[in-house]
Amino acid sequence: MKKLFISILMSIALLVSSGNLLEKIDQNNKCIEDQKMTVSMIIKDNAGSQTQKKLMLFQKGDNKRLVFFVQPSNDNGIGFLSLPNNEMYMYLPAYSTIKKIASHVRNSSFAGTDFSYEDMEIVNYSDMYNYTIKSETDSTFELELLLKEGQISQYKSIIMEIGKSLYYPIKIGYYNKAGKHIKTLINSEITVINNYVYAKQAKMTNESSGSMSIMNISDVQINTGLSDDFFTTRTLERGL
Amino acid sequence: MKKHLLLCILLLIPFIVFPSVIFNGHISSDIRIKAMKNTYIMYNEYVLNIGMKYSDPSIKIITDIDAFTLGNNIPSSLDALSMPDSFYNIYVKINQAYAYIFSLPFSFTDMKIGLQRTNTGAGEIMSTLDILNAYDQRDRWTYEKRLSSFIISILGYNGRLSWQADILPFYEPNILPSDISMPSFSMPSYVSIEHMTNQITNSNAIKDNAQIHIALSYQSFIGDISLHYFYWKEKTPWVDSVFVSTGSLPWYVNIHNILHYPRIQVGGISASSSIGSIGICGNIGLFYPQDNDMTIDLTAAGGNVYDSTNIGGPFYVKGDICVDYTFINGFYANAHYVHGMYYEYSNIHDYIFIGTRFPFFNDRIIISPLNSAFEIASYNNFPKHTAITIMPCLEYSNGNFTAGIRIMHIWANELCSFNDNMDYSGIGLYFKAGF
Repeated sequence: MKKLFISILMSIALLVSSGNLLEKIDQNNKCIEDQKMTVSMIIKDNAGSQTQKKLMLFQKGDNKRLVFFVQPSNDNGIGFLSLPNNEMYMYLPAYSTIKKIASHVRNSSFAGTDFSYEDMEIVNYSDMYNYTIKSETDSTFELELLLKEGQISQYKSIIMEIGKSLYYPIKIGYYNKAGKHIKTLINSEITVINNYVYAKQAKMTNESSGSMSIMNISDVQINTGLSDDFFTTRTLERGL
Repeated sequence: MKKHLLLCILLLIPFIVFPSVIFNGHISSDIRIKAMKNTYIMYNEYVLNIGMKYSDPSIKIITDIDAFTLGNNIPSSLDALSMPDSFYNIYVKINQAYAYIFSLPFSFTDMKIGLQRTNTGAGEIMSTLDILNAYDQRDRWTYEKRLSSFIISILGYNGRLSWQADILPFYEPNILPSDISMPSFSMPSYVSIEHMTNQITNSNAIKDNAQIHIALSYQSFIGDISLHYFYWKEKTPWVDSVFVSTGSLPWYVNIHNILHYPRIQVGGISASSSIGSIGICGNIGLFYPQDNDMTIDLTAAGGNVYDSTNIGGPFYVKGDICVDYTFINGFYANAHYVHGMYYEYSNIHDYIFIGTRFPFFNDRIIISPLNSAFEIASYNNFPKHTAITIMPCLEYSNGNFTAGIRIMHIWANELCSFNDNMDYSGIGLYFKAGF
């Protein structure tokens, strides 16, 4: 009982000293209006074979996103548009048609990678999760995040390690509703551009299958003035 | 074909002038062996596809061309399948050759001009309102291939409201005079046809041939809805007049048919949404064909002229509804009910298509074990008027190279569209390497 009391006191002390850490993480996303980038993906299965994909990603706020696949050749020209309220569209050049996608696919794999559609979204952690500090070192905090009542996500809990210098997640462990550790994300080559922090490399490991997807980010441009009109089915149909 | 070739040459000019052209394409093969009773049919196609794309902020120009050899042999035994085919004929098919001009003539409109494939209605395949392009008769295994048409398309946007106008000035029928088989015709048992000739009357005037599609669409977060109107032409001909004359012997008759491609007006609604976690889309169309009174002229055989309403007149309805679900592990399943399917007026049947897609190893292996279709040609004597098609598939793809195998079997009864009422089994192998 005494240990528990001390532990609670220490957690409160940490919270007071560190402020709301999730808000600090979210603050990074709020310093930008929009961003565009080139993403190269390497997907490795547990047998060792690998596939490469390349895509262009445009994003505004935390809920408008447009993705065009460039490589491989089979996927060239395929586009995804994601809008608020989980409204999603896909463009298939082979059929020259735009298809509405049922919103629940955000839980499933994004283009055969270990990232889900939800993983590709910008998350406002403070809106979605409550947290406690599990441990602290000189340079990092380890947080345990629990999904708030009423919030929808495939992850019920998250174990997150954040760097103290930039308040950016370095390592994230994702746990499903059954409490099973299903995926691990490791962010590396943390970079700052006009006060915006991002990882040049994000490595997602599927703990069940052993497969891994590595996302290398380049040509990052922020606050380029992408208008709301850009994130429409008109742009999706026009393609790159 | 000449106008398409000319258009393609014109659209090739920017690719030569501008260096920033993106080239891609693929080499593919599709080999199928069908077993029908004691006959084996081998179908093989080898394709070199080249696509070229030029884009700048105001225009995108796209061409996509197939050069292919097509072989079809009908040996009498499995051993004879190894007989060489005549692959020295190389055909060229222009899949697409069009210019996509942005913000023309207004800032809120875009225009697409050229040989292109247009989709109308909701859903990917077998959509009741996706009727502007003809089917590619070379592919009955997937049901989904459609040929391109020369289309002038204007797309307008205003927030969540959008509209589209498609004009197809040149009419390309699906069935040409040389392809026409004998129209169904009741003859007394003691009379035989000595000669039968067919003549299709089809004006070359654009005003007689042009097809128009207008759509008004609204997108909302709960679902999308579109209203459509088509001023369309049927792709298969209808019989206008039948002239019967005596043949060289008393029990022979000669028949001359005059046919035309009829006009049809279509009004329709397409919609897509989701109910809970299940995606749902559907189309319904009211088809109003022009009146068509068939005349049977027996004067040359010493009889009279008879008028009988053949087809046309009253409207009819085609529709479809599709539901799909993606499981959290990426498994995908859909079910599609179609009342309609083929162009022919007489072929409005009920169909249920089931599709499954089980990806493994990050989409490298895809197994589709339950792909199947069920056809009900008539509810009278139901068991004898049904057909079932199963087509499980296994595919490997690393994005640049794809190899797959399809197995197909059809059990078809009378009146069914599947496989001309014949049971058959088949196996197909396909390979595709992109560059």
